[in-house]
Amino acid sequence: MTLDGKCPSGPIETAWDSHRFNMKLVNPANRRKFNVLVVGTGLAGAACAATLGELGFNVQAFCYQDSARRAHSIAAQGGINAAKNYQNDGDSVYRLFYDTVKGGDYRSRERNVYRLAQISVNIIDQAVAQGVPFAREYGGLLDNRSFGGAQVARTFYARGQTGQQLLLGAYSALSRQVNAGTVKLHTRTEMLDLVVIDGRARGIITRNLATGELESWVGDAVVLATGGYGNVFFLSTNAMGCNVTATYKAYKKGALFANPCYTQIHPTCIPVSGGYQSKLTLMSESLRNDGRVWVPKSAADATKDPSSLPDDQRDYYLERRYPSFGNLVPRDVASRNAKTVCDEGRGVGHEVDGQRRAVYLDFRDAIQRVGKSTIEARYGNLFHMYTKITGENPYESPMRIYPAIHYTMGGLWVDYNLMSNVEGLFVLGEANFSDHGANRLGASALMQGLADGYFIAPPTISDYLARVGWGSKLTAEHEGFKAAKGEANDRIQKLLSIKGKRPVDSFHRELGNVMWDKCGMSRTKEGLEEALKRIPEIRAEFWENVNVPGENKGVNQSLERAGRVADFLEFGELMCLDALERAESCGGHFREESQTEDGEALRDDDNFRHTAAWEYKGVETAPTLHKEALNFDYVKLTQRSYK
Amino acid sequence: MKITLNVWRQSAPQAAGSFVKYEVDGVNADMSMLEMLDVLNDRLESKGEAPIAFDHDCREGICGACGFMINGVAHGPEKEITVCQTHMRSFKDGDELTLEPWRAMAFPVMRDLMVDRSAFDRIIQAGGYVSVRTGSAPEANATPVMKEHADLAFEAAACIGCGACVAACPNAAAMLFTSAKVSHLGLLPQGEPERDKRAMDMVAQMDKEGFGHCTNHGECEAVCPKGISVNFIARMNRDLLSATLRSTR
Amino acid sequence: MSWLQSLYASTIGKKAVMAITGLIIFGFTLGHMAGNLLAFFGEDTFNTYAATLKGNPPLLWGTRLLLLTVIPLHFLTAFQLIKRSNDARPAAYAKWQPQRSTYASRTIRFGGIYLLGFILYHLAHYTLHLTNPEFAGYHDAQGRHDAFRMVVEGFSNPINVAVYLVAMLSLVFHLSHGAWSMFQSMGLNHPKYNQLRERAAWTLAIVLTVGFSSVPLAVLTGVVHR
Ligand SMILES: Cc1cc2nc3c(=O)[nH]c(=O)nc-3n(C[C@H](O)[C@H](O)[C@H](O)COP(=O)(O)OP(=O)(O)OC[C@H]3O[C@@H](n4cnc5c(N)ncnc54)[C@H](O)[C@@H]3O)c2cc1C
Ligand code: HEM
Ligand code: HEM
Ligand code: SF4
Ligand code: F3S
Ligand code: FES
Repeated sequence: MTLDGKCPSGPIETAWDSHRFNMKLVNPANRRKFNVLVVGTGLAGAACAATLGELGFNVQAFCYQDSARRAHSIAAQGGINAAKNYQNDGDSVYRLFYDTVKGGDYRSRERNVYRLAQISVNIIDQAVAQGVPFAREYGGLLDNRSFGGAQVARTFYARGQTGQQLLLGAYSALSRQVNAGTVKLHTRTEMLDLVVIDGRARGIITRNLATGELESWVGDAVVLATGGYGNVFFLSTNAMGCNVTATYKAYKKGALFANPCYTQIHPTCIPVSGGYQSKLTLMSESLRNDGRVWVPKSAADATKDPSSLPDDQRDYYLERRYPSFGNLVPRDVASRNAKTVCDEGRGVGHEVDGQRRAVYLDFRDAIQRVGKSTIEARYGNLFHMYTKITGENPYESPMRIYPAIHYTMGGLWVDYNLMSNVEGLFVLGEANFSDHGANRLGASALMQGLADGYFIAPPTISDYLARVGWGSKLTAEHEGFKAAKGEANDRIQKLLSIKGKRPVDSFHRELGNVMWDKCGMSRTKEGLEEALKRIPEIRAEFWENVNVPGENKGVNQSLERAGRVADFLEFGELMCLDALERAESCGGHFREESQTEDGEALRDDDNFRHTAAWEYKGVETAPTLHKEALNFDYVKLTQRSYK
Repeated sequence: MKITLNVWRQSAPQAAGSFVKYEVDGVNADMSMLEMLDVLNDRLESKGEAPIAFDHDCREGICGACGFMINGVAHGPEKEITVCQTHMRSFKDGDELTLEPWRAMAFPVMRDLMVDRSAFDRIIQAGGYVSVRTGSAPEANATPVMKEHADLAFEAAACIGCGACVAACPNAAAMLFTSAKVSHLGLLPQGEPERDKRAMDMVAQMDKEGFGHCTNHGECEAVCPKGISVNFIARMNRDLLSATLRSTR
Repeated sequence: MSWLQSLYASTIGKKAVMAITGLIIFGFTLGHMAGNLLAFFGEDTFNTYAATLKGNPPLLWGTRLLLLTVIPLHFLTAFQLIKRSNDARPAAYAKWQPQRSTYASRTIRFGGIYLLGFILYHLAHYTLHLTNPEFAGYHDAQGRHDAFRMVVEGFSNPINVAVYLVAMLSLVFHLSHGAWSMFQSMGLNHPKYNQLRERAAWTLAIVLTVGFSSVPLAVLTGVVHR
């Protein structure tokens, strides 16, 4: 299989425009004859479903939560980037494009990224028109801040709840279409399988989480906007229900899974406090602007009261190792260094599983310098959140932080039209592999999800539908649907019939530990090989010894979780395989074998300047690797350095 | 610590429910309320018993999925917090906690502590939006918005749709929720053209769902995890009354 | 007028009716209370006042008509709202702990029902003289209806005074909540003045109750006598 990204040629600045001009259109009167299934109502899904509905297509939208408004996009705090250059500080579409490609460590498609930067400005207009209450200046105009170490202030924000406000904007657009009758919403409905007929995605199988009923849905196109797979690590900043099921099932039906090993770790999360921990909470990175990161110089001091340790017994390791960037080094560098000092035994805080995994983020000096009230004005809500979770007061004793899994850059492979290699299967938002390469810049995921949903997918889907035409006679009685539904049912019955000894979560935790240790912040060949041995063992035990009580009738949350964990148990293996195969370090993927003398990630552009897309071949069979070469005509490849 | 729970168990929407007592030992003060239930649920699952069903997702107080009554208070004893952010350090060893689902005609119980809040979605669908087609938006900075209004709109927009306001209100009113959206959009110039229609349509839907009226008890504001103010209810009353008098409908 | 019907059908419209009717009754009671205080100035003043009112049919009947519309509207709407509220929560909580609501807000219904009973009794007592037909025949030296004597005799009965005082207690609670709540219901709210609104509500409720109660108490204790 050769992977064709179908990028338009010509100058990058006009590529998207000319591509759109060449697209086929569907006559307005015919649009309602097309059925589009949109799975996911996060930023990407809700925006896409609403826009397709406005255009007049018949849309069915699905999400597993009880309301479309609860998709995990709601949790994004920091902000959304856009090349508006309202601050007149030298930003431009080209600069946002350049920064994104560079930030992604040159592992994304130039043309996709350029389009993203172009569309970013329309997103802000759209959101403001919907009533998204972005922060404003006294003059009534929009405010911006600089985010994640960017040199320009291009981030739009709504206090610490930008994702919430943007999602509620998209949700309101979606609600408007529900009212207009163009979109039918199916909440508490989980997609369990994709139906591919004659090489085209033609439908999905879902389970109604309220009744247990399995249903088949026929469509002319299927859109997956089901978010990221960070929960393969069990502990992450993702919501509890985030899963890989939809994309993984599509992968099993022939869609290629690209770069699964690219995951992003966020350095400032609240550490694990005990074995019962169910998720991790992110604290905005902006804390590092004023907080100083340190651990005791000596492991013996790990349990001492931090304020009793004088400066000469503290190791401000980021300031020591990176004198010019100090505490503001990029996410991955900050994260890896935290891991290193904790592995040296100098971690602080609660001991969990025999290790202390936390470092101090200290505001003592900042409070002395600018005063408590200034610090309160800057971070009051974050400090409050910290206190709520830990019961400690960060004004008096330093915060404890530790990195956590936060975002997954990998996802289903898509071309420039956001269509996967399976015809008619479109993949949007965090679920696709697209624009962030090996590392995502802060405040760019919201931008990408909305760009995909509002502005890119609607025209490309229309084009696809215009080409395949309407009038399909396909119904759910087709063998393809019956078989997929049968399989889904068999799997549910199997899960329910095991009645072993262990609860579902215990397997998820076990898998998560393996993934975090071997395929987390830094990875080695040996570790990955070990994980590839361990995961099938856990999976085998799961299928023999899990206990899923109850039956497939009504609400059964154990069954929901069991299905998701079963998929993670297969998917984890794919991730490790991809991480093993990519023997370079790039972006969020750090292979210990590939580093500079200073311990920086070392890319290997000669051998790995490609997207790795995997083709499913069976659960116990190794998948096939396809490579899409990445060409850089506009951006110059350089090696990062933060010394 | 050891905690005794009195949990409402109800196997299906139509089934009769009752309180069941559980003793949970080994509870750690740093656990969240939901993590404590996870621990209990793992124990129940290992025994092949049905775990306690409750809605939850983000577990950081923003998605609005979680919520139940803890000892008669929606989202439990701490202020401006959801149950997922309530930690066991708020309780003492030996405490007995009664966990009960939201109760309202418009929020039927689905199972245990889980209720159906789709009525909220229908209220939004009735008019909780600005009718702007994708691509038709004017330049964002073309319309300046008074900062005070933008900030107030944000405060209203912070609602997470959890339903605690309904649960706590002695009349099971959805006034706080509905008024938050009516106010958020009504305060912004972008929402102005549809302001009257929105207020009328959303209130009509709210009434149709069977929520109660507002006696101005203020219970809703007290339990709201986002501290949404009852001032917005007054604003919605004003909007509705003036819309009714002013509009041609 | 279908818009009026649909307004009345809505919870917010009904509350506006509660508020406006409540406000009117409130206004009446303030005036009524002030008039009652004239009893402290003796028989002549009080009877003059009563006769002046009675001698002004437009004022008398205007007020009566207004009250005859507004009071039934107030309690009919109240009953509809109470029913709606009960329907909205068919199953009560096993455990419920109030956080912000006041005793006054939670008992406003019961106080209202007591007040309804009281008003009916009060009218039967002093206006229609159904309970004490002899009141109708009292006349003072100038041949006017001797309202003063009627009041003094009425309140010489401690049970009667108790009925009135309990009513005044209900009223203080009803209004300590109602008098600011009605602003909220009509959408009159501004953070800057809200505290003022609540204080004024309490003050007026207390003034009203103390004012009203003073007359029966004064009679019972003999401060006001014939
Ligand atoms: C804590 C946190 C903070 C963040 N902060 C920022 C930030 O400041 N700036 C930024 O740009 N990005 C941020 N991100 C990243 C960003 O929020 C996400 O990448 C983005 O919102 C993903 O949007 P989405 O639409 O792709 O998916 P989601 O919002 O995750 O939506 C997924 C949807 O798919 C549905 N779904 C999933 N599986 C199924 C299934 N099997 N069947 C049916 N439906 C299914 C879900 O119900 C949901 O509706 C943050 C992420 C986290 C976790
Ligand atoms: C006839 C007997 C009465 C009954 C049955 C009655 C009943 C009620 C009830 C049930 C409410 C609360 C409605 C709600 O749940 O929000 C209420 C509110 C109110 N009542 Fe009465 N009441 C009566 C008499 C009075 C009197 C005599 C006054 C004035 C002196 C009065 C003034 C008010 C006011 C101002 C409110 C507040 C309205 C609002 O919240 O907007 N009521 N009444
Ligand atoms: C202790 C308190 C009160 C006293 C002493 C009192 C006294 C009186 C008296 C003496 C009359 C008869 C006047 C006359 O016919 O000459 C009267 C009438 C009336 N009172 Fe009161 N009253 C009291 C409280 C109230 C309250 C709380 C209300 C509630 C709304 C009320 C409503 C009325 C009404 C409607 C009338 C009839 C007026 C008319 O003739 O149309 N009173 N009252
Ligand atoms: S107003 Fe407050 S309590 Fe009500 S749904 Fe919104 S956030 Fe929850
Ligand atoms: S508690 Fe209920 S009565 Fe009104 S002020 Fe809140 S809705
Ligand atoms: S689980 Fe999302 S708010 Fe509690």
